Amino acid sequence: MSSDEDLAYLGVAQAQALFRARKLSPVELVEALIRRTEALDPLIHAFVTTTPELALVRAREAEQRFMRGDADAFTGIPYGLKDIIETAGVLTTGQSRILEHHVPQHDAELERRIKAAGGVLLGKLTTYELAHGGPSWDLPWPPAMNPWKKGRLPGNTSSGAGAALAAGFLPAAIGSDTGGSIRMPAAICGVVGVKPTFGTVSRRGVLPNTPSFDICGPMARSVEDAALLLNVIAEHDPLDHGSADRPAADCTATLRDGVRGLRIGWIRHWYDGDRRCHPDVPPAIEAALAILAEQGAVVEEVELSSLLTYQDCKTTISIAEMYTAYEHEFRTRPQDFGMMFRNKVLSGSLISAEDYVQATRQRLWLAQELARAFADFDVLATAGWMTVADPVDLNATESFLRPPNITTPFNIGGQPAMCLPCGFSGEGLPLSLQLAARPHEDKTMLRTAFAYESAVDWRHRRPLEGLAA
Amino acid sequence: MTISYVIPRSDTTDLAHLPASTPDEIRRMAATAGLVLPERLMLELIESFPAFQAMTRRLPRQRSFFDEGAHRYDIDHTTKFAAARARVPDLALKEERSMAFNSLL
Repeated sequence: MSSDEDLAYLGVAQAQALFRARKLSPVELVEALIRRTEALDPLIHAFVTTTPELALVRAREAEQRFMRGDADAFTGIPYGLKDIIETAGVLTTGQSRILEHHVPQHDAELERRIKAAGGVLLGKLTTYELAHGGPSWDLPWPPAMNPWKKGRLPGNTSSGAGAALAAGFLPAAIGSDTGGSIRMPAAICGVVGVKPTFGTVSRRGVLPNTPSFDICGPMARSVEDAALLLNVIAEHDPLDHGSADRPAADCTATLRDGVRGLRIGWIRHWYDGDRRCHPDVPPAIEAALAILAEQGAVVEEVELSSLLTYQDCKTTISIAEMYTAYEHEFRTRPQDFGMMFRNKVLSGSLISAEDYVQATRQRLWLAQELARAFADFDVLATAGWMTVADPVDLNATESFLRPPNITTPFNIGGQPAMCLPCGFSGEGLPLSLQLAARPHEDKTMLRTAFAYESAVDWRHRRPLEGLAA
Repeated sequence: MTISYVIPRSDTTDLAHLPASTPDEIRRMAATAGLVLPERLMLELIESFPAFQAMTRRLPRQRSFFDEGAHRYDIDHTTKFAAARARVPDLALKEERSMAFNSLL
């Protein structure tokens, strides 16, 4: 390989192929990414903590595994973890002052799996406070910025992961998704983000947001890379009470099977009806579905409940559970939370038991609605996000309830869902397609995404403006 | 033609017609919840809570307790997946049971 720029945008599968052919060493790749991160992250703030010394140790170990011939599918691949995922001996702050100096003794189960596969941790990635409140300027760490355009945000809350991937700091990352926090930054940053089926990935050692909805998942610059990482982290964990007790499917085995005969339900009213979206979104989604139809998928329009209906249910459950998770800190040191987090969670203290129970009843009702749609369709498709990247607003204080998220419904139902690039707005900012499938049919969703991605070249564009000094 | 999967909710009501809590009521609710907040944070809560209260009041009421995940425990599967796997025939069965139990209440 020639330049650091080429290495910066090398994908997981590409890097693995070069490692196996002895044309590139994991150490060379890691050194190039460390140089790039040191030069450019002061503009992007994608990392809370970098771990260059640890990364070089792991890269040398990976190199040895290739020399011995016992490398796995993820050996030598650099990655980052959202800073709510615990790492033994490495600071894990949750981007919150209440955990500012927290150094865990143990790895989260998913980090243990990636480490065992030979992955190379480059550092801990910026999030909103405890994966919920932000962007905040009253915390010890600045929020991440969008590499595509100066003064734009990268989406919440796996914001560092989305920004780092777009900036070419790493080829893979782990985010978490409670209401869309993997998919939204993926959509806004022009990368791929996968929320697996609820229960597919262990949450042991991951700071809680809303246990009823929390799931970790892969983010990458291609569908295949995301599928490769999902294969590494997906496995039943008997010590996670929400873990699905079933064998994990191989998500890469069927990637190239195509979409002929698949039935795709198109949910247009969520982005072009319930709310007013960016004008470039509808034509991009319709063009993407036309490409899938050309490949043999059957596309029909469907109607589900409004996004507000899903959002009311999800947020009632979410702020009650999130307040419960951090109740002790709210009672003893509430001033140490950032204002954005307090504004969004403190009201959880006043949610009544009746409200919470009614929301859980509503959840089942909505889950059944989704299940009925998935009885007829293999995949549901809609916009990945309503808008392009938001501008930074340092005076933004009102953040009690944002407009409903187009990502939230699939957290209600627990289905796998993902976002992938489907174009660019007139101002050059990424647009995104969202796909979802039946529970434990992650591979069907990824296969559909791969078919679309293979027909377009959006993922090969690279940001320039946000990375210029 | 658009295929609708929205389940009619004619049997439910909501509380959206109720007035928002006053600042004094919010202070009392916070005290009952055991929160001792600096005045600056209390004012933040007084400003933010009405938006969340309006949200909870939009939730449909009068649903059967058979709609709760905890009352649909599936010994072989995680409760949440039991919900996601449900199909139309299950829904019809559940509605029959719901009506039966509602008539007892």
